[in-house]
Amino acid sequence: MNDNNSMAYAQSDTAQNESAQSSPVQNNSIYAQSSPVQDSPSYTNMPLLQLNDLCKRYPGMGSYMSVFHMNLIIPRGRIIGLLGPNGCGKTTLIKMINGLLTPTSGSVLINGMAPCPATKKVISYLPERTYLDNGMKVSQMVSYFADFYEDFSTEKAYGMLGALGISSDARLKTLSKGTKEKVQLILVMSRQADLFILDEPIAGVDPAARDYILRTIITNYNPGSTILLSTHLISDIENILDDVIFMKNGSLMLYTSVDSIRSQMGKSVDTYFREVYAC
Amino acid sequence: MLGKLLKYEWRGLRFPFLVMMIVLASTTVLTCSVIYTINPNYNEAIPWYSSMALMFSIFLYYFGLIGCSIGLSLIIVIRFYNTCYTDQGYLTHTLPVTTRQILHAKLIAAFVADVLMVLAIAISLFLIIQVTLHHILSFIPEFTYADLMWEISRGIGEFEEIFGIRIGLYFAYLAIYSLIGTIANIVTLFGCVSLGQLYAKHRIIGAILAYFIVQFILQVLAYFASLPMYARMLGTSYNSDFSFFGLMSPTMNLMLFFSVALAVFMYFANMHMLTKRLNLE
Repeated sequence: MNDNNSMAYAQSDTAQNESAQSSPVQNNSIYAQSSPVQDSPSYTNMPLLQLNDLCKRYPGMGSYMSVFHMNLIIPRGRIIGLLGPNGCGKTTLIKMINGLLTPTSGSVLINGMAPCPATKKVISYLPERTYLDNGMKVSQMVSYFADFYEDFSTEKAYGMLGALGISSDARLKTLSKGTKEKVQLILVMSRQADLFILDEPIAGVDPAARDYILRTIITNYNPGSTILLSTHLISDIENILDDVIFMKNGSLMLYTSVDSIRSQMGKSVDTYFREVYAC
Repeated sequence: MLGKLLKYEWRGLRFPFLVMMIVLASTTVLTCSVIYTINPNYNEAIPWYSSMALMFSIFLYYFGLIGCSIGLSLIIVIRFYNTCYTDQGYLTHTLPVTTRQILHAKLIAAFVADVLMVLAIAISLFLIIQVTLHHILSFIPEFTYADLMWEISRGIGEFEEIFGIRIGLYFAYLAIYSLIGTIANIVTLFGCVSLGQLYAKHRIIGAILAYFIVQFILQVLAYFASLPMYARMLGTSYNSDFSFFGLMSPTMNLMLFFSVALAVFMYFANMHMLTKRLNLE
């Protein structure tokens, strides 16, 4: 894993990554430590997620790369925070993992396979947007997920809907934005996927809903699965994270365990994040 | 998985389709009812309100037909755009299915809806013609419906002589022509939406622009396709060897060929945009 990190930094030699290179993190001893990947007993020859020299450049953006030579191996059984400021490439990275964007170069491997129907079977993805069909009823969306995903638990979904008092007969267009987000999260978390990718799951919801969402994530978390969680609201999620990935200007800055940050730096992830990304 | 995709695709189309069926049925019933209010007896003046009602119902029916056929195409295209390129695309493209299956499901559902709409319009026209004929014939005691059918069957007997093809073959040709044309049209419309994605900041305008460019190209091709027809028409002035079908068929075949060629191009454009160039906002 350290090799992967080293590669990411070694290749961060363009102007867009100069700031990342000069960040305080670079001089930090965390890099010298063993990564959480090595600590994981389930790290095998077939990692859950592997990024190999991954780059993404959008058309019309000149030479700027939204994701820049990123190398990463994500093991099973971890809750990982994908952290970074706006525009650092988190969502682009997530889209590439989900097969929603084609990399400019490099590769994404999930269970050793490039994004394809087989990899989509094992990834449960919550985008930052509401992707549900507003014309459908909640129960129809549950049936939709049950039809397409073999690992979807209808009982679990209805249980969570009932606990939140969301009527399964309600049409999605009649629900508030926050309730729609909850429905979406319930659908995503009712799967027994290998990899859960949650893009900003707690952004734009009230603190009570935020608590519920985090509780749902933890309650429905299968120890054999990995959750990759992107957010700005670090203080809210810090306590549930095993590891963190810091991104800056499309590059991987840091991939380490939360415990390492706390023990080595004597700081919370939130405090450390503020230092690293101080404007 | 294709079956499941088709199920949900049809579910997405069926409500607006049903609304259009109701509109078509209502305008058909209204037009038939108004036709019955007209007294076609030549020696009696038609009341002004009756002729106004007839004109109004014919206009309504005409716009109903146009609205249903254009409306269905719009609904199919909007659904394709929404489910593939807007927020709903996040769900569509993360389903454990191939892009080809997604595209095929949308094509098949749209094709079925289009064919059903054509059948519904044909039935509606048939009903109106039948009602009109029965109503008119009720004022002409000396000429019955059976007489009319006999005249029509005589006309059918002369069809081959005039058109240069047997009536059964001609309608089979038209049916196959229409089915292929319908598929080509759907693929082309989807292709325009997909090509519109290249214009990242104004994707809808891009799609409309792509549609007009495609129509322009088709018009230019139609001009070239009509050349054999004109050549044969000029030739017919001196030599009357060409039947009506003989005159028309080269142009129709060429136009079908151009439409299919364009559709094949658009199919691959769709696949390319949905796989390699997908960039959801």
